[in-house]
Amino acid sequence: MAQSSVIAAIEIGTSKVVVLLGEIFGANAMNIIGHSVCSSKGVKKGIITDLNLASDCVHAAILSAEKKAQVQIDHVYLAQTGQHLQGDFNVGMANVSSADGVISDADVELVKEDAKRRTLPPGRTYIHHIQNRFVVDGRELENPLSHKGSRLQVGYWSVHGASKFVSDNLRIIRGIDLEVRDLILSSIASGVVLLEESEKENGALVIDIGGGTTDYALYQKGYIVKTGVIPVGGDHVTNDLSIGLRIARKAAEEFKFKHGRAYHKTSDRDEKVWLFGDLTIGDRDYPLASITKIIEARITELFEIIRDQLKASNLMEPDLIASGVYLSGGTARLSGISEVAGRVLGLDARVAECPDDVAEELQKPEYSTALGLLHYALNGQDLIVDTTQPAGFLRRIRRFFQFD
Amino acid sequence: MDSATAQVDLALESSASDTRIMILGLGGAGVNCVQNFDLGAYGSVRVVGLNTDLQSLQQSQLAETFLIGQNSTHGLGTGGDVAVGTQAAEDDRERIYELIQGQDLLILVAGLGGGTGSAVSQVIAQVAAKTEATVLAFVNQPFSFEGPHRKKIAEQAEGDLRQLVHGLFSLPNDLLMQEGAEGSSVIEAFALANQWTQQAIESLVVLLLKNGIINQDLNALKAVFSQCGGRGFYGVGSAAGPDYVQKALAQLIQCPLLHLNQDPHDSDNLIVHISAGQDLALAAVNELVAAIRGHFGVAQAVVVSAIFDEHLSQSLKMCILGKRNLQAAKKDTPIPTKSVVTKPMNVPSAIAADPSSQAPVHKSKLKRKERIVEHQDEFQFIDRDADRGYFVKTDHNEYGGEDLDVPTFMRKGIKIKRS
Repeated sequence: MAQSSVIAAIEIGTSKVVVLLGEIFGANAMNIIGHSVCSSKGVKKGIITDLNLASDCVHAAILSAEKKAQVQIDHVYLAQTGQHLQGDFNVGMANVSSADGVISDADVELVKEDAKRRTLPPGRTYIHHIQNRFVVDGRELENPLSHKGSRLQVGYWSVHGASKFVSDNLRIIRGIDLEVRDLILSSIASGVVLLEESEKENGALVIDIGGGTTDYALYQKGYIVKTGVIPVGGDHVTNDLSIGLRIARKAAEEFKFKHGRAYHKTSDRDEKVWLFGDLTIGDRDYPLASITKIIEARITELFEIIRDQLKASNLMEPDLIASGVYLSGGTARLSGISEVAGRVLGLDARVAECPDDVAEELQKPEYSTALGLLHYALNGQDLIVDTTQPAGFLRRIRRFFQFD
Repeated sequence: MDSATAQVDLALESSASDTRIMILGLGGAGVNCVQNFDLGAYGSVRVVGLNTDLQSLQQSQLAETFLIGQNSTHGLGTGGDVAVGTQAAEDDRERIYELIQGQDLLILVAGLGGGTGSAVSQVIAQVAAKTEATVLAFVNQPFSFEGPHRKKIAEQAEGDLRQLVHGLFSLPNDLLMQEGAEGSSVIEAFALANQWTQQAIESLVVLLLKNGIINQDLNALKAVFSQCGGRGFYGVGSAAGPDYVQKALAQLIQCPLLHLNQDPHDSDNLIVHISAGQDLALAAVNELVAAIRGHFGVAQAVVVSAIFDEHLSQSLKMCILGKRNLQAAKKDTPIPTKSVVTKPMNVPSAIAADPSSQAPVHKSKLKRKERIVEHQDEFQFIDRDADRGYFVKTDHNEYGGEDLDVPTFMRKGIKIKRS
């Protein structure tokens, strides 16, 4: 088989590195031919804190996936997360140039350029320009070409990140001579795979709660109108439990999924749970109420932050988010989490299901980002993101570092 | 006549050999904390309240009080303004020096976040650096609900103060919400904080001044707190009745002060102080110390002190104090004391005593410049990151004035039971 038909998706997460290899056949069909998962090292809150450690485990994961699939990859699609990612909504404007008022290609290009020309402070680079609907004289349109009007507008949700953190990610991949074809926000990748077109149209909020970060993307009327990264994830729940109950991190991790629940019930008060429950020396019982109180405080706060951020952008309109909340990521496995999300955000919430046409082991919520990357690589990019800018951005980064 | 003189001399000698300790309560919170100290039994301990607010000093039951910044604040306090507090303390530098000179150990007690405690503690520490005293500071961090402004002041003050003192012990008030009984009042919570601080300070005083089965002196303390900077921690435990040894140990290990974001498990030095009745077996002391050593995995020295207290029987109080020196801290800069000051170019005594060693034929007239090894301040930038536990080395996670890396339940004051 030709190597170029194999695409690789890599997510360097806080708790694990996921590599998925997909082989394209036909027009837009794909087989997942290899995958590997490694626990992450040197990554905290989505940011690489130790380049060598992180690099080693990413390389190990890539090699292992290549070995399983019996192929060699030459380029990858990379997920991007971290607190440094921020977005702005910019609106471009142009007057229709032709005398008869019919909108031409040139007008469309002009308005797009106008929306994207805002310069960033030094040290920051654009990652995505996500296009919203065109507006012609106040009328919303998918495609304004050949329509008549005098004033053309288009909005872009532009995501930018700190160059140094983005380049850390690129260096790791470049370190074994692979090309990064594109960088995709984790939340957008998750949205690609978890949402149907109709759900995006009705409005939906995708929240991917990983180990160190929570990534969200809000879709309204079919377009992404806001994305965000909150540097709080499952690690924080573990850390809270470890401090609150004075137990080791490992034990806290065990508690989190074994007995943990995202909300507190009054009936938890009298219940005791054992840490290991297997008569291990040093095992003791803890009040379930303490565990659930600690988790509830953290998870509630997390959703409150998302709610407040959406409110601040005037986007917290339940009518425009009719499909509700879709939760994914490793922490979405926490029991009761969708109830808390629903209560805090005032929306229907559920743990999203990955499509059932992939292997069962890949249907867990923590694989949604990597699966989304593959989907995106296959057919999503034209629909969602204007890709010209990221390519230029990659060239700039590469020039900046002069790897080879 | 002769014998009487001899007796007087003896008395003088013993009082001179006593370690002179001064405990300074700074600002409103500090004064409140120290005024209940009952250390009258130890003659060489002075407890002094310092404040810019005359009223707080007058209302305190302290015998010795010290009004700072009379000219700038006129005894009316600082109104929470650090600049005012700093000015007040700067004006009184000389009076402060007169107050604290000649002490062996200075213990500062302050609540950070306001104007007086945050500012005055630093000036005192600066002045104290000119004396030979070992300086320890016990500070309280304000509650999260007091707002980001006070928190910021307190964090800044703690970071700065840590560079100036030999050991800094920080107690976040948020912890009190965890520890007080359900529905306990603010006063009870503060009383608990004061009680912890008090027990630690009392242990230090007893350790230095009272004779017991295993004695320690000021030099042992200096060995642990040999340099400025670093992060101190302490924990207390006490129990009575049957199985009191095991119970006290369990209480110590569960002591919330040892379970803050910092990890006592890789401390460099540890002082273990035990006060118990005469019925405590030496084997039990051994057992306790072994357990503590095992639990905290102390790499270097453990300094043990055990004291009999006639009021305690079938019960014991223990306290551990330790310090972790941060990575960038200079490992071998001792406090300049008289005995340590050496001339770097001295000929080793063994060689000097050897008659066969070659003496220089003629001396160079150029005097070799004596290098003065000055005590160097640590670099400041490592400091703010030192207490962030698991999330060290990552960007600060500030949102609405709160650090999201700090457990939510602590910031919101949700009480968690552990058993």
